[in-house]
Amino acid sequence: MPKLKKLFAHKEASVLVMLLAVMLISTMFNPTFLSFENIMDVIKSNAVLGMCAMGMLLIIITGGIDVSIGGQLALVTVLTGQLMKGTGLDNMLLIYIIGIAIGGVIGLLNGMMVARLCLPPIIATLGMNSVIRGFLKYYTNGAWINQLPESVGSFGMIKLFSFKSAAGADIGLPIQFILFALAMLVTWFLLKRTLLGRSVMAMGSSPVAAERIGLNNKRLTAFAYAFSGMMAGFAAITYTSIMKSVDPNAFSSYEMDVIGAVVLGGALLSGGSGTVLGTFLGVMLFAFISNGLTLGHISTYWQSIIVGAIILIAVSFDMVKLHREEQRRTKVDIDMTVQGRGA
Amino acid sequence: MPQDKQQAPFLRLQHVSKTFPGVNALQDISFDVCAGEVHALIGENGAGKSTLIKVLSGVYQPDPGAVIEIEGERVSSLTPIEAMRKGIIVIFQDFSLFPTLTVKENIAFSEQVDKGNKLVDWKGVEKTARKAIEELGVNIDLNARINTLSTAKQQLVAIARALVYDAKLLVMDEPTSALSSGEVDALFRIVDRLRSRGMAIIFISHKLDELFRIADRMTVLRDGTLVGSAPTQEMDRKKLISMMVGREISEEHMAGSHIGDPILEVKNISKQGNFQNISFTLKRGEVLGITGLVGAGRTEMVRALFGLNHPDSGEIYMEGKPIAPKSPAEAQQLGIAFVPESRQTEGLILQQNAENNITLSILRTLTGAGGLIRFPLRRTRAQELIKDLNVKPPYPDMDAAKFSGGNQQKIVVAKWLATNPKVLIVDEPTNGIDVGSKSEIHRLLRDLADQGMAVIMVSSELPEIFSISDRILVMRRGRITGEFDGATATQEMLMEKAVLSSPAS
Repeated sequence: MPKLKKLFAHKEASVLVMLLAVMLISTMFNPTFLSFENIMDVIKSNAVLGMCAMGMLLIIITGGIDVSIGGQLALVTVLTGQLMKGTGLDNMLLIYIIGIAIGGVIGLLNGMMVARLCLPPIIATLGMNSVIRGFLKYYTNGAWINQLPESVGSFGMIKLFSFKSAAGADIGLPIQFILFALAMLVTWFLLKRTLLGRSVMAMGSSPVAAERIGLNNKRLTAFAYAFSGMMAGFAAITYTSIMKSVDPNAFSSYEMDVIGAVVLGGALLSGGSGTVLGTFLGVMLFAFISNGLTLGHISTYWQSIIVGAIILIAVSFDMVKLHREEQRRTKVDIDMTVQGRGA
Repeated sequence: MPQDKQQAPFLRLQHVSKTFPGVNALQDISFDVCAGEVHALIGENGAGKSTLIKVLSGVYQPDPGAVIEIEGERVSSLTPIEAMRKGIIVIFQDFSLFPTLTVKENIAFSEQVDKGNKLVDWKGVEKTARKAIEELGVNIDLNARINTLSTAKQQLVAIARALVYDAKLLVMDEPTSALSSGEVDALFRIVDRLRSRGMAIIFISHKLDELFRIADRMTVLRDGTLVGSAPTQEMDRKKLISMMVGREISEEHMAGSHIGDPILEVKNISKQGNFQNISFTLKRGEVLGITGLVGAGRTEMVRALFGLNHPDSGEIYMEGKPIAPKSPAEAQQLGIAFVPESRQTEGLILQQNAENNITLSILRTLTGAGGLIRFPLRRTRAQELIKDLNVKPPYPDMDAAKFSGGNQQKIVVAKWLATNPKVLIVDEPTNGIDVGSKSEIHRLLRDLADQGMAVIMVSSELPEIFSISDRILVMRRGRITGEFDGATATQEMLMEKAVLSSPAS
């Protein structure tokens, strides 16, 4: 079956198989898992993760990493939350634009540190995260921001094509589903159709070759981090509209979830590979494992252990495969025309 | 003959010199290449081929006084981008491809960049790539990712990409070094095709057999100077080899005085894609030189003796007992030491001081109660070795990075001497080391052998091989092709075994 083999050569296929297996097992333990409502709930509560993963995908494609993503989310939620509370601003479009702009600036700063100052990405973003967290403690004293404008909460409740089920519950596509789809579409278009996105991909694949054909590696790197920051800003506003309040201490160690989802989706930390579809499947796998375990009444401690183990196994699998290929690589072209020793 | 229809050369270099601090990499080179000509550039490692290529592709600026003419027009200074615009395309040994992208995108990426469109025209990419591949007359799946292709196919993609750049001069750096003979034939058909369409081609290779098949003209460099240039018909193998090797051997030959019993016997070891049917015997007190071209499998072979590369078959005996080192730690236990080729990355911890580096291999023997390191003992041991090897300056506290190349190498050797090895393997021991330190290292290796150690020295530099080897093995394409007595061998004899499949006529 060469066609089937070809299908499985795509990394997405193996993620999809894992995803289907998780869904099957979860359904066996709890039939409500496969209900439309549950699935929409899972997507709604993981849309924020998914948006951040789209941004992180770009950074991982450059061979970098961003561990300040949790700090960025918290910063945007706090600053826009204060703004809304203080001024009563309730135009969602404007709030989204402001959130995306704040995230973009932080991301750009990260990008400049990596591209211009040549800091290792993990150090640059670790430092950034610490600065943001410290600032937030100073600025909010750890206090929640409540009493946001009504319209923020109601925006988060929007459901499209909704109708009443027999039991009287509202069923429909949550707005977060649409927003997540929008984030994916933008990232997909960027990576697949624009020269900018292809250049980021090319640079991640081989920085030396990219330089030789005249790409500006520094600018591309800075762009990837800025894009991720904008996605974080987009996700942050979406999160506020779901929660209807702001917790300045939220999203601690959230970067692990985001990076984990991207890596599960088949992107290599060495750069140059990764797709929107794979990342989407990675996010869903991550989400459905957690959801399935919850529905199976398994403690959240176990969830964290299981998710962590799955990530480690998936990445080890890739690494072992890469190592095997390296071992098998021919280093010397042996002259097979000679019999025995020539001398 | 292609020479008949030439007018002005496509590229002409005159009086090109390039000086780096302390080194004359090129001295007064004049060189030209014509449209429709394959011009072979030949020379040992370090002869100046790479420097010359970097000058003509705009990576290096030559010293003042050089004249560069492209299509009869003088260019005052050349940048890499300008060189590319004028059609000078270099295919580097690493091909400069994007391993995780598809064939078609690799071929057409630069065209998309040049067009400056914001969106990728995938239909255009496909069309450009298909056209380039068809021009080469080969069959490659345009949607395959580069890292799934064989080296030969990757090379074809690199050539196809050069066509998209509208290459007028194609420089191929060791293009056949990783190809099988069938793949070489296919490559030569393509080179022929490009030549007949009027492309100028510079072909860098060590493999003289191949050069006689493909080249119209040959130019030999040695130590940064031009030895000679002639049409292929006026050349023969003997003449070419003598041009390549005519290097001065300044150092006298230091022969061994106490050669004893065999200590290490290698019997017929092979490893797929690394080396084949390697057998030799190493004696106490002997320096065994192993030479050959880069890529002949020398390093891969000696790494096998040190447990870094596991042979598929064959036996190794140490003092009559069979051994099969699986790791460097095991090899060290057996009394084998290995000084790797790149001392900066594999030999030393640059950020740590000389003492730490020297005693790293014997830390276990320097511990006292509770496994704690006995620092005074460690200091004493380091100082002894620094004195024995005459490391300058003799400061155990100085960071390894701050020593000169020669003294860094002594530190690496000291680290291994600390383990009291019976067999010392050194790979390119004087790579990048100044002349004075070189002879000091040679003296040191010779002394160690005279004290009863057995030394294997891998080196591409023939003068070095001659200076201390009692016996010399030559490798070519994974096999030992010659064995010589160090006192009577000539450079021509070694070079012939290193570069030719059959003896020179």
